Amino acid sequence: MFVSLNTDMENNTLNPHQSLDLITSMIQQAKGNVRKSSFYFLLWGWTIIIANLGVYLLIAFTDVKNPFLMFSLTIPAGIISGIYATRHAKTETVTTHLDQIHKWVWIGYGINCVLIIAAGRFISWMVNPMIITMCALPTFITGVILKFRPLMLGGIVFWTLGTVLFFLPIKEQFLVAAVSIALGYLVPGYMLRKSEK
Amino acid sequence: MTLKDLDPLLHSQLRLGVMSLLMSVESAEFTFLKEKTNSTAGNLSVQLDKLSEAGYITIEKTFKGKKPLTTCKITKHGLKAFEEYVNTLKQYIGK
Repeated sequence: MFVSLNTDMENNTLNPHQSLDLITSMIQQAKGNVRKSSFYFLLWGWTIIIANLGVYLLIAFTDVKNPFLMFSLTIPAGIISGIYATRHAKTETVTTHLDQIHKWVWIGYGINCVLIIAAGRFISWMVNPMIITMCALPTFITGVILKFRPLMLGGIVFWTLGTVLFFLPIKEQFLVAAVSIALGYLVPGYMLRKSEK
Repeated sequence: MTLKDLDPLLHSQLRLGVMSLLMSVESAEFTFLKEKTNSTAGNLSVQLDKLSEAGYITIEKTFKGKKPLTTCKITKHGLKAFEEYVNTLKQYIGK
């Protein structure tokens, strides 16, 4: 039972059961407000796939000096994400603790990626296996937060294919990384977009 | 049954409603609180000020474009008061 709040709120005396009902009802109202956004999965999914396939094709068919520059595509993607997040934040009227956890798990992952790329030569350029394996955690957690199973499966795909990547030659790693991103980001990303409509 | 021991600041429908909402979120805008508690802007504003004066919540006033924006957050003090209120409530219900 929910006590109507339209009546004289100041002088309305609550009995303990009404108080408890009110608290429960309000907590219920505040729940389930976690932001859904397929935008980032689609943007980053396509960016990383194009970058990985680009590097693979450049290595396989050309003698370009630095094919890894394809990954500079992540810079505009980062800027677009930032602009989108700022604009989106302006339309939200509430921020839940889960929104905060969600946001920081991904920012933390982004920081890890930058550090791993920077330390690339110390880890024999096993950058792709590291980044894909690490990607499993934020993807899986997002699935848990949104109660969206395809993203949890996406996380499992990253754990599995990320491990496989460690055993592949660098060149083939780019191809398999693109496949894992397609399965782990794009497929659940498009399913999430469908569920948002 | 007398309810004298219950925090009078929280023992009011709208203020208790607001506190329960803020308990569950990181921060909420005025419009969100107004919608969820189904209250009028005038009354909500008065009750928010009372909670703020007691140090139970913080109110931040900024602008979203040209529109004024009021964002509320529960404080540690407010959280403690809310927990005490719920504990007292349990005693009443347990009787």
